[in-house]
Amino acid sequence: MAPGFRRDDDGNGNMNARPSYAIGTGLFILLGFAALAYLATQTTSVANVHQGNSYFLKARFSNIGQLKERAPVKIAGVRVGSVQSIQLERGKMDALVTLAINDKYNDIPDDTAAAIFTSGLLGDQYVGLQPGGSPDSLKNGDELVLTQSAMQLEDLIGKFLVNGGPKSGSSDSTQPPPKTEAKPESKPQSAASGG
Amino acid sequence: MTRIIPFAFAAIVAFVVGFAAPASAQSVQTPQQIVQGIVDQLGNALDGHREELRQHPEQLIKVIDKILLPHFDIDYASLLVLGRHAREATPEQRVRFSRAFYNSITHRYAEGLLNYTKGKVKVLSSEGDLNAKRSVVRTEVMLDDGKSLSVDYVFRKTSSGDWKAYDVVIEGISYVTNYRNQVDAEIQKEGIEGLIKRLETQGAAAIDQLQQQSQQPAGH
Repeated sequence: MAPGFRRDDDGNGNMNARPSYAIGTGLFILLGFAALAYLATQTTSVANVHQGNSYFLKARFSNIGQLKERAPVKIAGVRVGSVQSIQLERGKMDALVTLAINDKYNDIPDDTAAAIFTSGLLGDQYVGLQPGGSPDSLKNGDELVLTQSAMQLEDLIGKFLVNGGPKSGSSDSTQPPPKTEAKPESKPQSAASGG
Repeated sequence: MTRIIPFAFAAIVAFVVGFAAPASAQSVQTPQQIVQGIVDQLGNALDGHREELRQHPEQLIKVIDKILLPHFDIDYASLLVLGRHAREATPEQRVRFSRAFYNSITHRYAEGLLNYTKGKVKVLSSEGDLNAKRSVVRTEVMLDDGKSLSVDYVFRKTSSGDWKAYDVVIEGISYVTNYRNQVDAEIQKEGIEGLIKRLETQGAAAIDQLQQQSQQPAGH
């Protein structure tokens, strides 16, 4: 080795244990992992899985779109629970979605509607509950009487193209008119705005 | 002790009679049968009378009232449409809303029904048990240009044991849910009384306005 260099080894090629370096590096790596772990768990929806006791509600949709398990369930934009499970009902060919709602939200009216929305323009889908006015509340195991399936981008584009645009003012009154493709506009978070 | 026996006997007889009576009434139609019946009756009523009914819309409304109204739970559907505002409405307002809304809707869509042709609506079969709170009957409507429309009817069993529809889902869009959003936006703007008055005076036009106003990005 060139003169003037401090030797790290003891002359025989064995590295000296330089405690401060080793500890410093080790600590830095541990800190790095800890930061990663924090990011991964606390700032995403995995953290919200630990939401306390919940009760379960059922909702049947004819199309759940991209809804996944553990997707949030929101009322007025506030998370109140998550999707517990999604199953296909044989015979009826409906999707049976079980929602786990936090126990502290126990006064959801029993004529509440469940609709599948998209976060932002092209984000994950979630279940939005729109409360009704019934004085009775939903209990564990109840089924939601009003449901609205997910909007499919392809269907919307198809209708848009076929009907020649939203305000076609068509006189074709077979279908409830411009409503059909204009409907998505009344759903602010539907994928239509991104389509 | 001996006095209890006649009482118990009377109570048992009352129970048995009470439970047996409905069973002896005519058998209740299933939702499938109801929808098929409506489709057939509508076809019969419209075939051959289309022009006449087109000229006399009020007659058409009468046809709708006779064939469709008995099988729709209009009051329940109106309550659903009112949503959370149902609590704020007085019973009298709820009744008025129900009537005005039904009238406006039938006037708005009556003409569309004229295109209903017998044989063009296929009621799809469904297996599985009927859920008293929510059972769906699926139908497919063949349009003139060969395309098909999926129309589903959502039924519930009322307290009297009849099945009545409370929601119509056309191409995946639940109309009650949709109207609930529009009515909610309107009530926030003009109040329940204002909305009811508008429905009562403007009828079908009010429904169109509801739709247009909900398309403006104002609210959300």
